[in-house]
Amino acid sequence: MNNGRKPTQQKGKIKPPKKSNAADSQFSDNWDRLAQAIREIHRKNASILSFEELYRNAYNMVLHKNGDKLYNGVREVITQHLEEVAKDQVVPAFPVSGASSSQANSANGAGGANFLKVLKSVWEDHTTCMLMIRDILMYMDRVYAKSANVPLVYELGLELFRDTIVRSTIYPIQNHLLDVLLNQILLERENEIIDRSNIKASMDMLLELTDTSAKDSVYATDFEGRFLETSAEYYRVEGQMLVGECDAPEYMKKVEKRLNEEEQRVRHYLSQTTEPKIRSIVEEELISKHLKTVIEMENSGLIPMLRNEKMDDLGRMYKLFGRVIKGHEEMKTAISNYIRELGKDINETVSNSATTATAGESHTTGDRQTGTSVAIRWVQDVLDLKDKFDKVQNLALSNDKAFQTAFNEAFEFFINKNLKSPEFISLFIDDNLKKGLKGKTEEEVDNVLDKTITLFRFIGEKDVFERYYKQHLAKRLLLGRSVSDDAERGMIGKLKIECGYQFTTKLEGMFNDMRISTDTMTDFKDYLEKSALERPKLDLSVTVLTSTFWPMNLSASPRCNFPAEITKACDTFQRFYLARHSGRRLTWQSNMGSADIRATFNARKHDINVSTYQMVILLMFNDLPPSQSLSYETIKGESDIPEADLKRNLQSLACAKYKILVKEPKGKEIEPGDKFYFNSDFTCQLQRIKIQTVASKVETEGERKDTREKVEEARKHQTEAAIVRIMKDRKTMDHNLLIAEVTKQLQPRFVPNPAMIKKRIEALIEREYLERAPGDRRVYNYLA
Amino acid sequence: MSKNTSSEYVKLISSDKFEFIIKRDIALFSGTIKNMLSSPGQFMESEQNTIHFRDIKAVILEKVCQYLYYKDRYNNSTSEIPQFNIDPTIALELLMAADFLDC
Repeated sequence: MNNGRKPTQQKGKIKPPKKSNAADSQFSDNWDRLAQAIREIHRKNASILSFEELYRNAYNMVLHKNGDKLYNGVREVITQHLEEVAKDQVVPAFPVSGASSSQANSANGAGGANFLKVLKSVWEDHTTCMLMIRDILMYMDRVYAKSANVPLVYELGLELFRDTIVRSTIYPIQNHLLDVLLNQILLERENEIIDRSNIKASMDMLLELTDTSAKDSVYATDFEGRFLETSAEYYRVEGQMLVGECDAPEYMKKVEKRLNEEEQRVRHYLSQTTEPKIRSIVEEELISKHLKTVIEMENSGLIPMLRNEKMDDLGRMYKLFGRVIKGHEEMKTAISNYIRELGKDINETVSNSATTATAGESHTTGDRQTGTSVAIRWVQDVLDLKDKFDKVQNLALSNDKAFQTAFNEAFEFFINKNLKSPEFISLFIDDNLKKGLKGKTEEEVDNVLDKTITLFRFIGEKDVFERYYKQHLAKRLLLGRSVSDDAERGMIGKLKIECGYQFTTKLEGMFNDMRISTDTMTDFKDYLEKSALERPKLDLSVTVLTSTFWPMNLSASPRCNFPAEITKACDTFQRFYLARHSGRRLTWQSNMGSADIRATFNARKHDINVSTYQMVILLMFNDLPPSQSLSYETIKGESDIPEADLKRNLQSLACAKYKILVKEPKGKEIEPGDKFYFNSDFTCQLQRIKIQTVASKVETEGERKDTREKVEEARKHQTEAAIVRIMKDRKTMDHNLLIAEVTKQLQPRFVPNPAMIKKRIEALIEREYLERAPGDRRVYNYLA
Repeated sequence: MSKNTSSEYVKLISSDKFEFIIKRDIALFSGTIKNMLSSPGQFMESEQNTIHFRDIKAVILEKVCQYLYYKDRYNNSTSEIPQFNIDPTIALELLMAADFLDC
């Protein structure tokens, strides 16, 4: 209605409003009536009052500038009333502390609940009254309170309540209140049922009352602090007790339960602001403080869980420990150490069986078999271990990347500790490609090969692996042992993806050689048909190998004197081949071939499959009468076969399962004085027999040293090549930078030693590829 | 005798015994009247739906009621709002009543 437009001077006087007498007596009258009214309101007798009259009284008082007197008067009346309430209602409801503690708790429980109920009713009464009082004093609020900077009536009421009841200086109400509240919470934690609505009412009351100095609710200043303290204490004790009593899975279940409990409690009757605080307290006391203890618990800690694959428990541990900062760290370290332990065990079983095997060095074929099986078992164990931890990772750890990295590091660590790991892995693949994959579907084949590739990734010295793989592949191809061409190619494809093109060129070259050789053979057969002149008496099949691709010592061709027919056949082929490809040189490798011989015994004829050397030896017996023998020396002299191979082949002929020759004197070992007879009495069930040629094996110490040396040589060349490449590009470079670059380039194949790199640099300086910069000794320049 | 508190009309009685009966929700445009009628406590007024204004004359109270209807009619309206005419002779008293009634 105050539309603010004063009418301009119009005719008609403006009647001034009626002046009322501003007498003090009227004031005190008014005030008495108001005070009485307030009391009536407190006694819940509001219906006999007239709002309008009270409102008007207050209005008049404020109008006549008695606002302050009114305000103070109201304050007094309310304070008085509250004090009465405190004395009459609140104090008698104090919970009595009983004699014995157990009684006290239950007595306190019941008494406490009662106290809270009383408090709640007092508070509710007060708030209702205050609302009514505020309504009638609305004018005062509007006009006086704002200008005099005093709190509004309702707020005044809250403050008075706070000061006279909750924080009463006369009676220990606050202590009792806090005690009762904390006690109730304690009871609930001990699984007793309490009345939550009472507590909620009290909390709400505390939340509504504000502490003027802290600008926060009384809840925050008075209650929350003590609540957090007592909770911390409670959980500290609980933590220690539980750790002593329960085993790890149980402990974690209880911790989970407690966490849920506290969360529920906050939701039901505490303030939301307390939620993060209490949660961090529980996490701190129950989880952080006992991380190591839980992990290391005997018979139930992390390691037994892994051992027994308790995925649920592991998952729970992962989730719980994820809440605290160091939780996952600890888990990771523990698991990583466990993996290393297991890896070490696997490595040790290998070296143990190796030592028992090397004890019997003389039985070469024997221990080589066990050597291979040891290798295969090692790889299988490692694959199983990896599978197990992959399962754990999947089911319990929800594929956490950090854990994956820790696992990988642990695997790398113990795999590279075993110096024979590249060889073992190559042997494993070899075994699978020779026989293991028979009968598996393409998927399963792929699966096994993929798993092997994951192991391959862990090896640090990939070039050692390459060398072994080449050797094994060569043997497989030449002896026709490979089960499936597709599987072989698949494997090479995967290696190409892992290590790049360079790694696999030679391997592919070997495959190509095999293919070309079959084509050449077909052509050779045609040539023989057509020429019709020098048909050799035997069926010759030749595989031509490009020397750079294949890993054998090809320049040093092993000696062997072939019988006449064989030499003639070989020459024919040689002529044929050189006619087609000029400029090439062929060298015959007699240690790699095999022959099928038809041997006539007394009983019947047999087809025997033997190695080239064995064929040479056996053909020597062709022209001998049956009773005559050949001595070891004769055989050696005529055939010119190297001694070690000779002994091995004689053993397979004379001392193994099928005795084609008879040895005198009898025994497993070949000695220089032995004599050999052709065994005409030989019998066997099968028409076709195969004399075992030695298959791929674990290397003896000597052979291993050889391989290592070759690897070292190759590494030297590669390092030098890398250095020259880098320097040519950059022209000048600092020593440390150069070492870092070289290491980075060589990383996919092997990890170079900085000292070794330094030696190579100096060798290059000597050969005048590089020079030291004249000013600075640490910098190198490239010399074109 | 519990009267239905949400009856449609309320009665406003001036100091010189004039009775003005207006709709309840229109009366609520005055802050004071609203408090009186919807206070949590059961004051007399809310029980009987009647308010005695012992300090306000009929002339003034009549104008107040007119204003309340005016406000109700044109509150949040987009059409052109006519001027609310106030007789200058009662202007001051009206001002005080307005302050009293918070409207």
